[in-house]
Amino acid sequence: MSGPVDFNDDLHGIIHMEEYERDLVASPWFQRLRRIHQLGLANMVFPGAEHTRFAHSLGVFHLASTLGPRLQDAKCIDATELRELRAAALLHDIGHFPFSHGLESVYKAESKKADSTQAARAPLQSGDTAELKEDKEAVEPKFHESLGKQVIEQTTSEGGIARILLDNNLQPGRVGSIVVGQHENLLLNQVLHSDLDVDQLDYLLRDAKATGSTYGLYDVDYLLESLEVARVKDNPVLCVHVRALHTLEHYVLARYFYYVCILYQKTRCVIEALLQEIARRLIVMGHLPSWECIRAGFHEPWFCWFDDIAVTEAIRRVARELPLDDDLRSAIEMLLNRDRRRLPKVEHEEHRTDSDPGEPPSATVVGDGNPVVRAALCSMSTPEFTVLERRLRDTGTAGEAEVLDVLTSDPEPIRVFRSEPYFVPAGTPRVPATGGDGREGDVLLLESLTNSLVGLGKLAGQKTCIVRRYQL
Amino acid sequence: MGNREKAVYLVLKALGVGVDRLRGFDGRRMLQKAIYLLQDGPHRWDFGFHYNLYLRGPYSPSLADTGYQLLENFAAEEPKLAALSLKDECIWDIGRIRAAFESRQGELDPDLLEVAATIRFLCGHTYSYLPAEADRVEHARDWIRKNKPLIADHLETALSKLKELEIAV
Repeated sequence: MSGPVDFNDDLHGIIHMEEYERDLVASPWFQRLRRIHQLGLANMVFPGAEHTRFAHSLGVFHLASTLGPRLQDAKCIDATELRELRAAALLHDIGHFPFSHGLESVYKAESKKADSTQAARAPLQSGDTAELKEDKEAVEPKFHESLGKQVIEQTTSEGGIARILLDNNLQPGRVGSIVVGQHENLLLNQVLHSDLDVDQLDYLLRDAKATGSTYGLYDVDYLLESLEVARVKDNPVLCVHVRALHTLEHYVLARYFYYVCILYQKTRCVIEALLQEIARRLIVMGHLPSWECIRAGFHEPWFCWFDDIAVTEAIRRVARELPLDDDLRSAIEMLLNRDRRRLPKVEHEEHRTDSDPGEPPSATVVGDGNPVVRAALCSMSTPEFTVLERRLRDTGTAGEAEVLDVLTSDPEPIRVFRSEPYFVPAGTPRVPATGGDGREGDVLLLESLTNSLVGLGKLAGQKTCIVRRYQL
Repeated sequence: MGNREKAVYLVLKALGVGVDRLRGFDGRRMLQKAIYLLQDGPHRWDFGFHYNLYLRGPYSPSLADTGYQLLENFAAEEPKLAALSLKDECIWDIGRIRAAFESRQGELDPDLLEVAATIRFLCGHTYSYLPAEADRVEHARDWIRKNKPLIADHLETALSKLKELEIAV
């Protein structure tokens, strides 16, 4: 076979690939993504949420492949970096755990216990180290990305990702560095790792469509078309043309709806917590691989079968063949039988923001009931999210201000996402910039625009916290 | 004031940098790079801040937020800060960083700190796929010459400071 090969995606249409990219897709490590649901067990709440990480990865690849040549035309990336970007976009989720984020947090906690001998040291004389770490979870690279980087770099056997990349003159380490946002070309990090990256551009739409959340559908083609590269103080920055201002705002709102309506949907949260509690127990019992096994064996063939089916079958086998205590058996049946009527109900829910007075109450559980289910709910943390990070810090004094996140401008397109800070004179919100084709323009913050919903509604930088009380 | 702000205050104090220096760009830059070298250095002190590669080298948005919160709350909370202290070994490490990066005027050199921290990040993360140290260092040199031309003349000094502090590249 020779020449580009196509996929037909329900969201983006025909997706073209080169032959070696098709080889990457054919790799057992990538084929595994066919058997990992994008939204974990959300299909218990949204019956249409059956789409997989496989389809999402193809979608992200398509978006990156659409944007990449424009970056090359703007002379911000070279031909090799374009190939690296395409490969990274395709492989960005290759390290995902079964049920996506459902089991990721379980294995992340396991990895911290396993690494305790080499753990970083607490610097304070006294006090709780955990308190110093309280914000780290929010900004640390996702665990699956770190594992994905290792899969990309170390699967050198026949059909392995690293092997295919090397055979096609691509350096796995450079591809892996884009996946975790640490590539030497910062623009590539922006494309895959920022507030407006190709990953979010795909999954926000894909998840909205699959779940029936039509208010999450925005014009991705127009937004992508409106992304340009401008130079501010000779530094290339990815920007959105001002003509797409309202499409950009729609994207920001879609992200808000995604969090509250899908990701943090109350029943979905309970189901995921139950899965995590059962998985924790099965790992201890030896019926699911431990983190040590995964760390030692992700490059071996068995990892290619570590998917949703394997975990579900492990849970079923335990319930079928082992003498379990009644509470664990009941919890497993609740999960396997997908009986929503038996699940704990939310007795009280409130959404709080930074401006609400007092500390938010933590999620609580009331009533007597299954202790396994109680343990699952108690281990849930209060969902928190920020729709758009606010990163402008104007000192208000003489000197330089740090501008980390700049969105849109008038008349020229400027947007810089959180991976791209640069500096402008204090008190000067508008910064002259040169557009990709030499046009002059300005740099502005989306939140500072008076005709922006984000600016008027103060949506940037506002952390929303969802607090729930469950009745067992 | 949370423990994170208190820890940042204690680091600033050990570095000989006043909290009000955080109002200026150089002060924030020194804090960013110093804490990075403490976290990614041989003793891996965990202040809980995640860094990634930005134009000015390794940067933590979370640390920037903490710095601004410290600025806002410092005046009211200063008396309570005496209750906490850093471990002796951590103070000693900070002292070594201070000594290594102090200029003749007795203040920390923010440009030298930035170059050193950037070299460490590039070698430890971006170019970690290169097995030979010499290759990693050469790539880091090229990156700094290209992206930080105005302070690239600090390269060799920064490399020697990292060696002095036993921070691997």
